[in-house]
Amino acid sequence: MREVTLLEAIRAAIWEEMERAPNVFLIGEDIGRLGGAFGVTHGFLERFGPDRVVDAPISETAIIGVAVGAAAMGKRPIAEMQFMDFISCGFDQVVNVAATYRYRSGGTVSLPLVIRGPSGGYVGGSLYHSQQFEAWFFHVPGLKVVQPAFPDDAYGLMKAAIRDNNPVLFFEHKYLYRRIKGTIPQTGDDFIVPLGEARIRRAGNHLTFVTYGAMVHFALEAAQQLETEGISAEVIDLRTIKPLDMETIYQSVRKTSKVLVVYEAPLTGGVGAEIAARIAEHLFEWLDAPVMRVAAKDSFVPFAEPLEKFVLPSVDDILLAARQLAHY
Amino acid sequence: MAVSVVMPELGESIVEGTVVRWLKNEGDPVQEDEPIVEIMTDKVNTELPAPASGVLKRILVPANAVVRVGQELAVIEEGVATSPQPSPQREEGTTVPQPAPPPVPETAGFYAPAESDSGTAGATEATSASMSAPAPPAGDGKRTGRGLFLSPVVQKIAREHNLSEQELLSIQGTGAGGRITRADVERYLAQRTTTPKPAPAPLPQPAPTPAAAPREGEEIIPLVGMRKAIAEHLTRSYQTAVHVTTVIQVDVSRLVEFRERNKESFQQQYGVRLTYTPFFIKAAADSLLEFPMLNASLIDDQIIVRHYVHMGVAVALGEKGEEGLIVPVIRDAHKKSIIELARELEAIAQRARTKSISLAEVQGATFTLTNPGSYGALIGTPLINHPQTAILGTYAIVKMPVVIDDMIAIRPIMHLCLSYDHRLIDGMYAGRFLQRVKRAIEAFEFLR
Repeated sequence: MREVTLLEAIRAAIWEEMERAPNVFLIGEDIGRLGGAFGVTHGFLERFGPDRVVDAPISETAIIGVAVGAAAMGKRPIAEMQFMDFISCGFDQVVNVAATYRYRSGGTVSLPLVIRGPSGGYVGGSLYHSQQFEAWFFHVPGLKVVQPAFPDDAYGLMKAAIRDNNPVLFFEHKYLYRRIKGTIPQTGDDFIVPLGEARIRRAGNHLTFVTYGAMVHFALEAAQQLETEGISAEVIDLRTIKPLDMETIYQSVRKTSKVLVVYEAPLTGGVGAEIAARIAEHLFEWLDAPVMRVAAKDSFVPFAEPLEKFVLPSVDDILLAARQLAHY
Repeated sequence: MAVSVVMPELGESIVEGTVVRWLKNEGDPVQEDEPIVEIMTDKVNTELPAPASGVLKRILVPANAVVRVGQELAVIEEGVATSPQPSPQREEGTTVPQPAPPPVPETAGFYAPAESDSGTAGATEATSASMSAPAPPAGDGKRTGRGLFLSPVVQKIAREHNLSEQELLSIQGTGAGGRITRADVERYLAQRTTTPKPAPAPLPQPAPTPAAAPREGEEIIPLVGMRKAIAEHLTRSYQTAVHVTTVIQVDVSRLVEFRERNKESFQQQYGVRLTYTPFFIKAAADSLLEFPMLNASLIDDQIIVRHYVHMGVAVALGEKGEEGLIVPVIRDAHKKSIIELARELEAIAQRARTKSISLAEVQGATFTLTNPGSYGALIGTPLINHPQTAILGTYAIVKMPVVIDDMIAIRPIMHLCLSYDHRLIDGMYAGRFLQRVKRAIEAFEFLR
């Protein structure tokens, strides 16, 4: 076992997959000589050379377009977005090209493509360096969407994403990059976390928290506080946002009958809205309270720290909602 | 700056209380020291004052919730302009009728819609809270109907266990507004020892269970506060103790005579009204030292016997007794003189009536004295103040013909009614205790 940060876990997974399979390559802005804006690909150029660590011009359309073409031709590209906010520039390549490729080819062409990059707020990144864009892609058939909260999951999910034969969007939470440490298995163990499986990070009986990304850590902190108040909350870390592991969620809801869905993106139209809808649709008779949500306010992430805190969900927001739910 | 409203210590040994109702809503302006929430602990209802002036930003604990001492109850945003704000929890999708939105403040800047009616995206939405779900019902008494709301899972469990509607509605709900929660039903089912009755043959429809809405000529009052505490307390007592009442007749000639003769001088000399009650307290306290089992508590498998007397004295509140009842405690009553008892009784009863009594002053009684005689009751069967073992009622003093030395005389007579827990106390012990009290009152040697 190795003790690493979440960022180092991602770096280790990519490094090991590149050692393992020669058709895995990287493309992105400043990923080679600079080693990436956050240093995820630090040292890769020296080890794997410029053919497999490609410094691209500032064009997300080009980066994703090249990756899509290479994947269709049998490579396993990993395209880095310097910030996931900028994936919008390559939106057409993701949504209309990559996502539809298998469908358009009648199932004859697979597209083993990973688009990864830093996402999320709480770092004073303001408008264009703080967003959680997972809901855009959650909506699109043909894509898989991942956001890990712990190093072991980040490590195992990245390996699974690289080996998957479909386009995978890998959202790495920059607030967690160096804050969260944990152990990952040794190189030779070939440790994989399958896509599409949620993980119960804390067991509880009274409430179910369904969440992912940085909110997992907020939810765990809230659950710890609630325990001192006699409220037992179960925390489900989705890990993979699409496809959703509804069975794990349903099992927990059948136990607690009370659900709080927590996500960092703006409330309206977020991933949690779909989760809440499915629970209401399929487990209506198991509910003892309305399905509640805590998410960001329907606004943008401001630069000023107090305003950022105000807009983004907090542990206190979770506590408040959880107490209301517990006492409903 | 945000100031927390914290559950204070309301008395020794008090670790929690219940939020009865919020007197202010989120967004309401509050003044420092203005009552904002009503808290109930044991028998004392108290209103917590705002620690600062500003706006009640957040209520963290709903009505009916149990809160621990030190727990944060609410947050006040200090010094905010105290113009009314829309409650931040109201969102699109709730059915709460909303007043017309307030004028959009200029500071909303570019989020503000160009026209006030230009759709949903706008300042009001940008400032809405990040919490989505409609706020669960607040048990503030305005929503008593909520107690009858059965959630899908509660209905499902009831159906699966053949719980009749009546049986279901008999379950004590612990949710907001008295709602029956899943946990309540499961607890009920776990405790239900009798096997479910076979489905009864179709019967004529029973009278509908009382609906939440009052019919004409009726009103519905939520069971909250002191009345709720009394209801729960007496139910527990009635269900726990095995109640028996023994009655004895006391000739109070000397007591009445003494009072008639001394009431004015007593008032002048000691500054306190001379009533019968201090004598009854004294007689009971002295007797209890000799009959300590009546001054005991049966808790689990232990009998706690006290060799001191903390005398609870029931005080009715309100002109007609309509405001409930409280039982202030005179500590170490066995050590106090008649005059000390009279003074303390007057002071503590006064505080009870003005509701300024502290929690400590209503706790820890080992025995209770009640005086239905004050409203003319001739005889009765008082209910034990759990977990005490006995309660003594002093009833109306009336002149009656009595036989003394084979002659008929007219004497002021009073009934003493002692209710006791038959689990601990046998009839003879209770009878001997009453004889002891009777002798003390009749002999009237209190002032020696």
